Formats: sequence, structure tokens, C-alpha cells
Amino acid sequence: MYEILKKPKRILKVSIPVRMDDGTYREFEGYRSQHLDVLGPTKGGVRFHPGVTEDEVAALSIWMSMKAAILGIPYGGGKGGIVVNPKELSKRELEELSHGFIRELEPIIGPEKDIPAPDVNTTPQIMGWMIDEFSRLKGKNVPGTITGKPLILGGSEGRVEATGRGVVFTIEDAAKKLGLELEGMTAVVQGFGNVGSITAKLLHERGVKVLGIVDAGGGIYHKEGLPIEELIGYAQTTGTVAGYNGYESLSNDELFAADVDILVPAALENQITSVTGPTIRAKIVAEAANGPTTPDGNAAMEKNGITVIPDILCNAGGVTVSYFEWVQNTTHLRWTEQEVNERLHTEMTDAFDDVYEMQEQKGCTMREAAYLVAVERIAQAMEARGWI
Amino acid sequence: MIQQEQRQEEVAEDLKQEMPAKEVKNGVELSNPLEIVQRMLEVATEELDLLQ
Repeated sequence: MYEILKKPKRILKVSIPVRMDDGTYREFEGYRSQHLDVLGPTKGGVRFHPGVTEDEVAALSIWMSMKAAILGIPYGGGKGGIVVNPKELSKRELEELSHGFIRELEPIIGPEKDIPAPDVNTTPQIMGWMIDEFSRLKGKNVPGTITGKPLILGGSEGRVEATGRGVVFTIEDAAKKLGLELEGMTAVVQGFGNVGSITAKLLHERGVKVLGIVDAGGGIYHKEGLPIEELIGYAQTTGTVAGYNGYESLSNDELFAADVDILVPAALENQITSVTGPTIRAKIVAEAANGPTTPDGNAAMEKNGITVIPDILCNAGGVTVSYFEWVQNTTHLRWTEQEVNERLHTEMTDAFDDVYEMQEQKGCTMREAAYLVAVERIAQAMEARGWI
Repeated sequence: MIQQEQRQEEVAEDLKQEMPAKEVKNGVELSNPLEIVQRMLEVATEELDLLQ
């Protein structure tokens, strides 16, 4: 079974020409990885980032398979990416790039094949351009092909906040298992994009004091707790939390070593390492980002008895509400935000309990337990299909 | 026998080349995400007795 799981069944590499505003043409490299379709069509985001590689999208597509299996969602894992810094492109150039990417992917995506969604640096607007291109190519509206769309194009209520909301549900569950009250706890968050900012906001609403935040532009610390709503507005204007209200600055290393209850890495991969891992003092580490921890970092946290909510469980709220959006699109129904959030809460808590139970049963870490739950379910599907 | 050993060495070398190189940044060895997830899958399939 490992031989089937260890690599995606398909990786498509594409080259997308874009006419730039100055009249020149640039070629952008992109990928789409489809890991496994034993549980259903593949599903996963598309990221626009200069660091995108084939290995990265392959790994991320496998992670998506794990997340879907843990949540009991009928999907396999997919992931895509374009090697680009979207901040260097104009809106028109970005739109052309998004259309071009979908033109190249058209033969292998669709509501029953592979369903892209937003990821790092991709927005509902970009999903809107993508669904427009796909629908034009097919000559009909096919809203279930892309999730994370604008509401007016069949997007779901609650999708934008879904990943952060799911992160907070798992933190609540972890705190409960540790016999801790969330209200009055303290936290720091690395990353203040969609996931980091929503997580900080929802933690703040639950009475958690968010003392520090670090993003790509710098960091701030305030021992009385940061005013998250105002900070979101400030960061939207300036592009960073750095410099807000003259608060004390905070480095990445200081953030990881902060004396708080909850640490939320919500940026990119490889953040909790052999250097930062041993310095962590938080009781709960909620991996809102994909792959934020290296094996050395993980070993350090394990040694120090930190409760780690692994990425494939912690940030699965996004794919869960994407699934809700797909269900709404294919049944032509609309759910209210409350309905979406309640269903998400149930799904996340059930998944947390399944992983926790596996951890207890096997005497392993939460990360190992999450993989065991996922692989066991995928194995059942493979067996039912006669693959193994 | 010698041929078999030679073949095993060749396979080992192929596997080594397939393994992603570790990236080092600011003196910290970073891990290739594909390598991490494959290791976790290997551990899980082994634990569930599904390695083959």
C-alpha cells in the first residue's frame, strides 16, 4: 500500500504565457498534482508563490488526501501552484495568468475529477476568473469545478473564515482534553494572512489574549493583548502588522520562545526546527500552516510534552467547507453561515476525537495518530475496490 | 552473487539520487515536505501492517 500512497498518480507541469502590461511576454511555470482518487475526486488549492516546486505540490497533494480521509470527506488529494510572485503582477496580468492556468488544466479538472480552490496568495476573485475560464471552455456553468468562489458565483458562506475557524475548533478540543479553559489563555500567531488573522480574531473573541504576531514584514508584542480587529484593518492598509501603535517589536525567534499557552504557526513550511523547536514554551501548538514543523522540531516538541495539533487535522477546515460548497453547488442549495459553521464544528470535533482516540489506543503522538486514521480509511476504500 | 551485490548497490544509488536534497538555511537543516510526508506514510502503513 505504501507504494501506491508515496507518490501522486499524476503531476501535470504546464507553461503559461502571459502578455505583460509593457507588451512583452513572460512564461510562468505551473503544476497540478493529483495524489489519489480512491475516495473520490481529487481536491486541493492552487498557490501563487515564487517558491512553488514540483516536490512541494506533490507533498501538499498527499497531505490533502490525508486531510480528506481524516475528516471523512469523499475526496482524494490534489494541489497546484504557479511559480510567481503575484505582488509583482498587475490585476490584468494576474487575471490572464489565472485564465491561462485553467486552459492548461481543463482536460484533468472538473466536479467529478479534480476540484481546485484558493491557497497561498490566491483569492475568491482569482477563483472567479478560473471558474469563468472553465465554464467558457465547457460552454456551460460548472460551479462545482472550483471552490472558494465569490458568493455571487456559488461560493459558500463561511468559506473565507473556514480554515481559521477550524483551527480554533481544534484548539478548543485540545484545551478541553488538557482540562484547560480557553478564556484567559494567551497566544502568539506566526503569519497574519487569511488563516493567521482569522485564527487570531476568533481566539480573541473567545477571551484568549493574543500577545504577539509576526508576519513577513515584522512582528509586534503587547503583554496586555493585541486589539485584533484594529490590527486586521491596519495590516490591510500597510501590508504588515509591524509598527502598529508603537508596540514593542517581536522577532520570529522571540515568537516561538514566547511564554504563552498557545502557539499558532500560520505561515509557510519549515518554521519549527531544531533551533526554534526546543525553545517553545507553549502548551498547545496548533499547526495552521501546512508542514510548519521539521522532524527535528517535532522531536523537540515531543520531548517537551507539548500537545501538537498536526497540520493535516488542524487546518482541514478549509477543505471541509470547500466540500460543503461543492455539495451546495451540486444540489443547487444554499446554506446559511450558521449552518455551515455548525456543520464545520461537528466535523472538526468528530475528526479531533477520532485522532485523539487513535493516539490513546496506539500510545503514539497526535501526528502519528492522524496519519493512522487517514491511512486506515484509505486502506478500507482500496480494499473495497480490490486494489489491495 | 557479485552481480547481485552490484545490482543492490546500483539500486541503492538510484534511491539515493531520488531522495530530495536537504536544504540548509541559516545553519538549520530544512526538510523536503515530500520526504516528511512519505516517512509518515511509511510509519503509518507499517503500523497498520499494510507496508506491502
